Amino acid sequence: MKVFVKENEKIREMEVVIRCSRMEPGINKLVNHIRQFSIQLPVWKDGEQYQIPLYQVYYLETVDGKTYVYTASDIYSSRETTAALEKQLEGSSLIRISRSCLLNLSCLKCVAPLGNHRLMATLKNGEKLIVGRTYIEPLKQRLK
Amino acid sequence: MKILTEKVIPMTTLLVTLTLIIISISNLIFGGGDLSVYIMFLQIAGCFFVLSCVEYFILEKIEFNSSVSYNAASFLIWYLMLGVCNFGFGWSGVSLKNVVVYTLLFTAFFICIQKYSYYRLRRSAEEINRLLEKNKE
Repeated sequence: MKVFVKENEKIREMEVVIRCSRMEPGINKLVNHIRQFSIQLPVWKDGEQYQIPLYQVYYLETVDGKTYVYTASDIYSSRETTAALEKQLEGSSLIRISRSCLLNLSCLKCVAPLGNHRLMATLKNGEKLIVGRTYIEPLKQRLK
Repeated sequence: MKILTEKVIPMTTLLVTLTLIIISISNLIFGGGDLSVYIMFLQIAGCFFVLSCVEYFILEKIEFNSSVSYNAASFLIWYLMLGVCNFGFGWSGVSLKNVVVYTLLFTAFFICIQKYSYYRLRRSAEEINRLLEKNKE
């Protein structure tokens, strides 16, 4: 595989072109991974609105009816529910791991079994999340 | 070994259960053999199905702090519900000896099933970690 990067100051919007003989699952994964760099989530912190690129989001969680967006070292709030965000961001690297949590798969480091039919997911920043037993098989299928 | 534990044993268990259900229903409809045995088997199959659903939905709603508390809750729920079915339907007579035998057998089977479930979960975790490593390359 050859990788070329061409810089041009006149270009306003970045374009990524993938040339291949035919579409394969690996190329599809690459396209979805690249897409997440263009997706931005509107979030709020201390009354200020921000636009966070999806690749910086580690996970989203609903606590007491409010949705929080977690990055490597910061926490924001979102005005959408996790269900609405899951639907909006279908095809991205987000996956549901429990009733209240969506995880960005690109931030997942490893998993370990727990004694109660669940998995402990360790993220790249060391945080740990629980994967509910209903969501283990979909997680496996998504990675395949 | 992996094929045995992940495919052969679960498939055999499922097929034996389904076969016994079919034979029981068939004999109850068309007659043949000791009907009380078939009725008991269908009661057992039906009870396990319902109790599995109940246990799943109860335990899903509770956030346990540790696997010990989860396993203790699971043991208690199953022990009580199955005990009620066992003695309520008359699968075994109500006596101190039968309660002791039921407790010992239930505990032994519960431990085996939990160990087997944990083994399956560990295999899933290993597979997921392998896929994560592969995706990094």
